[in-house]
Amino acid sequence: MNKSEITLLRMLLTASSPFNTLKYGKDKKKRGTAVGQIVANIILFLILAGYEVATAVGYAYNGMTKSIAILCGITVSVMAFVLTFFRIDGTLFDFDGYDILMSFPYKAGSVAKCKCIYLYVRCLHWYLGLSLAGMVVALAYGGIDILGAILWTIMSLFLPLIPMLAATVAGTVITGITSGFKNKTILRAAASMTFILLVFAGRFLLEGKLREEEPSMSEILASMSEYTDRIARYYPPVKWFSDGTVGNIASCILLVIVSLVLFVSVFFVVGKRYRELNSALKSHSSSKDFVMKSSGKRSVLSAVVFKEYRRFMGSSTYLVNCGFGVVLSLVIGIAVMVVGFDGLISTITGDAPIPQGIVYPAIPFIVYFCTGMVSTTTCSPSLEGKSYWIVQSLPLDRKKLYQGKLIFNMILFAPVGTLVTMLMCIAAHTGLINTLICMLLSIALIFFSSSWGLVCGIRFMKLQWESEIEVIKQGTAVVVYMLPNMFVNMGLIVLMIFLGTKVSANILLGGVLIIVAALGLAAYKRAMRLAVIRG
Amino acid sequence: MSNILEVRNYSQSYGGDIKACDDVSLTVESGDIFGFIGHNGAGKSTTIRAVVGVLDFDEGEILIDGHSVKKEPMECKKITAYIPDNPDLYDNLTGIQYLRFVADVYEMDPSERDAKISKYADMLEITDALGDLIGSYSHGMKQKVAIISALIHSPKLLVLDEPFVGLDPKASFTLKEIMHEMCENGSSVFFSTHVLDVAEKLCNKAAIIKKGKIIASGTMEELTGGQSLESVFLEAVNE
Repeated sequence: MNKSEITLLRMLLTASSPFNTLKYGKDKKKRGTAVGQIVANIILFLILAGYEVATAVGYAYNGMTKSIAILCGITVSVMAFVLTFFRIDGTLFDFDGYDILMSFPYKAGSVAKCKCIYLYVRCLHWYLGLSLAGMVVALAYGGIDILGAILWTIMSLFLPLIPMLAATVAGTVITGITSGFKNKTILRAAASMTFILLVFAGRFLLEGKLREEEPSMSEILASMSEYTDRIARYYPPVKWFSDGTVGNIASCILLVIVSLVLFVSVFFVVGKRYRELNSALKSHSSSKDFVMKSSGKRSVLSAVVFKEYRRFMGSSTYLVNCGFGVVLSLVIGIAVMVVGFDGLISTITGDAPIPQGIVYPAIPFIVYFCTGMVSTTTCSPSLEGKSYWIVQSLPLDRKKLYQGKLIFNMILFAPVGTLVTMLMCIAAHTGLINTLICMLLSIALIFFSSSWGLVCGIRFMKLQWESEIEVIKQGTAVVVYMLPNMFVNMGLIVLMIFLGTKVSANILLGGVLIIVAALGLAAYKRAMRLAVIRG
Repeated sequence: MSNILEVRNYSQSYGGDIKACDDVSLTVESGDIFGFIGHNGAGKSTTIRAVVGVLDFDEGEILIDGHSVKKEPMECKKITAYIPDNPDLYDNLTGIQYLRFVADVYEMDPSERDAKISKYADMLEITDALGDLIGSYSHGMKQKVAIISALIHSPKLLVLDEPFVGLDPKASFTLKEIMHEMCENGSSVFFSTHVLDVAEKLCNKAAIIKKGKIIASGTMEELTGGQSLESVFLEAVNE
C-alpha cells in the first residue's frame, strides 16, 4: 500500500468509528448509540472468544489438542467468508460518496483494495478473538510452544484473507453478471442467495463424503483429530496454518505469501472492472412510457407497509440479508417433504445419535432459526436514513409508522414460518393439535422477533450511514437483537427437548406459547413507547 | 488559449437503445467559466460524472489538459476538482478531518494546506464549525466544506454540479468571486445550473443540452444574440 492508500484507509476507518462520534459529537443520542455500539461489540467479542475457548478446551479435554489449530482455522475461514460475502456488495459497490471518492486521484483498483482492507480491519478483532482464544488453550494444554504461539499470532492476521478474497470474487462476479440487466437488484439478490445455498449444499456434500470414508459415528468420535485433518486436506490454508503452529516456518511463509499474492492478483483484476461495474449499477435510465392509471385508496397503515415492501425490494443488500431466512425456510420445508423429518434432523446434526422423537417439541424453534435470526424491524428505522424527513414531515402518527414496519416483517416471515412448521409437523407425524399449537407458537415467535427487533431498531437508530450494510449487517441494533435471540433460542431448543421427555408435548408447547406471546406483547408495548419518545 | 477540457463525441447509453448522452462535444478553454444548462434529466450530471472520471462511458473521448480521462485518469484527477450536486461527505468525520484528508490525498504541504483551509473557510464563514461532525451540518454547510475541499489544491479545472443549491446569498456571492479569481489565474470552471440569471452573468461560454444532445453552444454573446438567456433557453428546448 502506498501513502495515499493508507490515507484513504485511515479516513474510511475514522469515518465509521464510534470513537470519533464520542470524541467530536455533541448530540447525546448519537453519543449514546456510539457507546451502545462499543459495548455490543465488546460483548460479541467476549462471546466469540468464550465459544472458541469452550470448544478448544473440549478438544483438549478429549486429547485432541493438536486439532485445535485446525478447528480455529476452519472457524475463522468460514466466518471470514460469510461476513465478507454478506458485506462485500454494500462495501465495494453502491455506497454513498462513491462519486466524490472516485473523483480523487485514486486508481479504481486502489479504492476497491482500500474498501476491502477496511472490511478486513473492521472484522479483524472477531477473527483474532476466535483464533487467539484457541491459541491460549493450545498453549495452556501443551499443544504448541512459544514459537508456535508467535507463528499462530502472525498467521492469524493472514488466515482470513483467502476466504475474504473468495467471497470478494464471488460477490464481484455476481455483481458483474447481473449489473447489465434491468432488474439488477432482484437478480443480484437471487444470484447471491443461490450462491449461498450452493455453498451450504457443498458443505453438506463434503461432510457426507468425509463421513462415507468414516461411516461409523463412534469411529469418528474416536478419531476426531483425523476427521478435522481431513477437512484441512480439502482446504490447504488451514493445513498450512495448522502446520505453522507447530513450528513449521515454511508453512507459515507459504500461507503469508499465497495470501498476499492472491490479494494483489484479485485486486488487479477487480480494479480493471471496478469503475465499469459501479457505473452500470449507478446508472439508471428514466422510463418514458408511464401512463397514469387509477388506483384504489390505501389506509395509512397499508401505505406504510407498501413503502416498506418497496424499500425491501429496492436494495439487494437488504433483500439478501433479510430475505435469506425466507428462502432457507422454504428450502427446509421442501427438504423435509423429500427426505422426511428424521432425514432432515440427521443431516442437520450430522448423524448424531439423537432419538428423533424427542426433537418434535423444538420444531417451532428450529424454524425460528431461519425466520427469527434476522428481522427487518431492526434495520428499517435506520434505513430511513437521509429520507427520514419525509415521514417526519408527514401527518403520520409515529406509532403507525412503526406498526407498519412491524406488519411488514410479519407478512414476510409469518406465512412461510407457519407453513414450514406445518410441513415439519406433518413430516414428523406429530398430530393435529400438536401441529396447530406449533403453528401458533411459530406465529408468536415471529411476532416477538418483530417487536423485539423494533425495540432494538428504534433504540439504536442510526440515520447517518455511508452504505446500507452499516445498518443492515453491522448496526448496533442488529447485534443487540441477534445475540440474545440466537443464544436464547439455542437454549430453548435444548430445554424443549429436555422438558419434552418429562412433560406432555402439548402442555409444554401451550405453556411456551403463552410465555412467548406475553414477551412479544411486552416488547410491542415497549416499541410503541420508544416510537413516541425516540422515533 | 489552451484547451483545459475537450469533450469529443461523447455518448452514453443505458440498457441498450436509451441514450442518456448522444454525441456531446464541447470545449472549455483556460480562463473560461462554462455554464452547462438543461432540463432535469437532460444529461448534464451524466456528462459531468464522465468528465470527472466517476462514470465509465461507451463512445467518444474526454480530454483534460490533453490527458485522456479513460487512459490517463490519474493525470486528469490530479488537476481537477469536483463538487457533486448532493455532496455525500463522510458524516462521522469533522469538517477539518475531511478537509485534511482531501489535502493529504493531493499530497499538499501541511502549512500550505492549513493556510488554504483557513482562507476559504473564513471566506465562506464556516471556520467555527470545522471541529463539528459533518453529520451535524446543514446542506449549505456541507456544500461549503465540499467547495473548500475542491479549492484547496488549486485545480486547473473546477467541475461543479448545481453548486448554488443550498448556499446562502453571501456564500453564493463568495463562490462567484472565487470562480472569477480562479479564471483570472488561468484555471477554468465547468458547471451545471438551472439558475439562468446566474449563468448569464457569470459565464463567458455556455452549452444547452436537451435529451442528451447539445442543441446550442458558444460564447454567451453568440448564444443570446442580444436576448436574455432565459428566452433563448426556452425557445431552444421548446423547439
